[in-house]
Amino acid sequence: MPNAGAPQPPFPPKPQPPRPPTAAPALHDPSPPPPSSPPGGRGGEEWPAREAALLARIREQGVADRAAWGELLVHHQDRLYAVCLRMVGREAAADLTQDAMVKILQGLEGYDGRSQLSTWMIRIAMNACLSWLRGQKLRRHKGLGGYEEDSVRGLGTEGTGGELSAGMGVQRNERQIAVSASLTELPDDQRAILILRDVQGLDYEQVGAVLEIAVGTVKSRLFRARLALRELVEERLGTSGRVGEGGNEQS
Amino acid sequence: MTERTIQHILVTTGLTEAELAELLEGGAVGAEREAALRVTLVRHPEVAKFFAGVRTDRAAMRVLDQSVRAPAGLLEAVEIRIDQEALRTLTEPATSGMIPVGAAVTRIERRNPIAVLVEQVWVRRMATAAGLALAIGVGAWGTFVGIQNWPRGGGLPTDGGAGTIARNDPADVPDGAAPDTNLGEMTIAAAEASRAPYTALAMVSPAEGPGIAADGTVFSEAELVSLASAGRLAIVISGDTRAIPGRIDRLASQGRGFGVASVSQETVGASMSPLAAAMTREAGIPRSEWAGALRDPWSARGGGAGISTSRRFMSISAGADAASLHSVLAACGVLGEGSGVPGRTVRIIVLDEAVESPVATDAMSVLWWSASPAKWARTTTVPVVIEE
Repeated sequence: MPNAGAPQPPFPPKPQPPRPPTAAPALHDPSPPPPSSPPGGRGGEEWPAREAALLARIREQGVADRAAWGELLVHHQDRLYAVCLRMVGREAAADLTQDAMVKILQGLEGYDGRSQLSTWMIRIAMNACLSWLRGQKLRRHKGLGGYEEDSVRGLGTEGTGGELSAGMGVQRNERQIAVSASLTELPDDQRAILILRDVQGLDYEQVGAVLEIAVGTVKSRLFRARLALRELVEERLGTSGRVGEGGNEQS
Repeated sequence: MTERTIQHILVTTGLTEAELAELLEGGAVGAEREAALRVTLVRHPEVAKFFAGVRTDRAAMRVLDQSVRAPAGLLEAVEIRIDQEALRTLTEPATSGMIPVGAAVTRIERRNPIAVLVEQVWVRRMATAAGLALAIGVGAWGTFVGIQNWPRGGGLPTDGGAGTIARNDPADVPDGAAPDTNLGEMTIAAAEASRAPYTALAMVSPAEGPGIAADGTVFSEAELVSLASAGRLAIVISGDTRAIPGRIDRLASQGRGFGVASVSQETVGASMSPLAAAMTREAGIPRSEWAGALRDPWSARGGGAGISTSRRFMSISAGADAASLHSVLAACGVLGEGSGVPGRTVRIIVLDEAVESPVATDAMSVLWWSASPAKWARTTTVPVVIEE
């Protein structure tokens, strides 16, 4: 703790409520925890049991039980699509989500239950996206053409009339636009880890399971990714002095 | 916020990047280290700004995709892909379950050389030509064999076939006896070959399987298949025919080479004119002269005028083999469960002259040559007449 002669810390002790906007940032993030259930999915306490029952049906009857795998995928499709959308952009997101779903169905018999099913599904979707991105970069490197990075970067302009915003029905503020656009400029691995942790709300273990890295590595990479994102956001907003103002500045 | 600043924070606080990440999210790293960080935040305003900025970035990211919805039709597309994958698994068992590989990996497939050959256009053309030549050859052979074996003249059987082969013996049927339409028990032949322009009329005995010609010659299934292949076999159903169209439709819906096509009156008068002529002549034959003096099922209709006024022509396509013909006969009420219905008679007419009945068209009947040669099979069509 600071001594008596030192200036008082600009943040309150942990138990205290957040400081007014003029105060320095709090050490701990007071914002609510990330979503624990898939966006758009039917969360609730009864879902795990339902999911287990569906899994059992699929394992017994394979993909012939279309009702079972249909219900399972409907529950997870929004989240899988969101991951792909953030990773590869709108043009390729639907196709890659479709690829991922096919692989999920083909691999369900091999799902060992060591991680949550949703984590396992996101891992497949994320791997599909990263493979696709690698392939596209290789094609561009060889002069064979490849995806337009603008298709990904376009996600950052939704606030200025882009389709995404209209489709989402969400009014975005300047910061959200800047963050969204900056995400697309990050290297793939940094974008992936931020999407998993901060956008999708996976915990460290789940992020590690998806990216197949240790939890400690997840944390250090997260820190680096946040640092990189921060710089990009500051550049985009052009108000580096403004960014940190107000620890409770909310989007 | 530079790399140098970060390093400074790490050194002065003794924190690691992982611990900083935890602290940013409210995790605990120990009181001492937290205190050191607090001091650092006070002494380095840019670090404090960084922390605040990260928090706002996280808040912005948290709500970024909460309203994202998967596009409509995604699951339907997945279902189609699953079906395609299943089909691919059936046709390429060696490669089933393979996961698409990256660009740096080359998948080497060992393919069947015959399959490679079949994919060549010229090979297909040659195979088509060979198939046609084969079909013509077999057809000619079948016609030849049919003609050679065809019974002409002669009497009814007099040997030990009694009990299975009907005899043209008036004594078998008492005068005034009601017609016995139980086809399960009887085999009947009609019309002398010398009198009828067509060679014979025959019926099939459910008990024995083969058909019996007017002269008592027993037709084996192989011979019937040969006649059908030559276009010289027709089936005429009369009386209680209500169940017949449904049975034929069910047969056609099985696939496996079966199909049914309706026949227009124009076709009957043209390519199927031999059949129409045969039936006209058949109508002129006095029933008493049919071998049906032996429990003649038609006698109840009186004399030789027992031809109905409404006829429906159709053409059943089937494989040119005994099993397929057996199925056709069963669908027409000659054999099996649907046979022996009181009030229904079924005649199998063997024609002198081949008729060209329409072929039921479906994808496989047109694109048969595109299938594996192992699946190529000859087909035949049997004209069927339902008299109502």
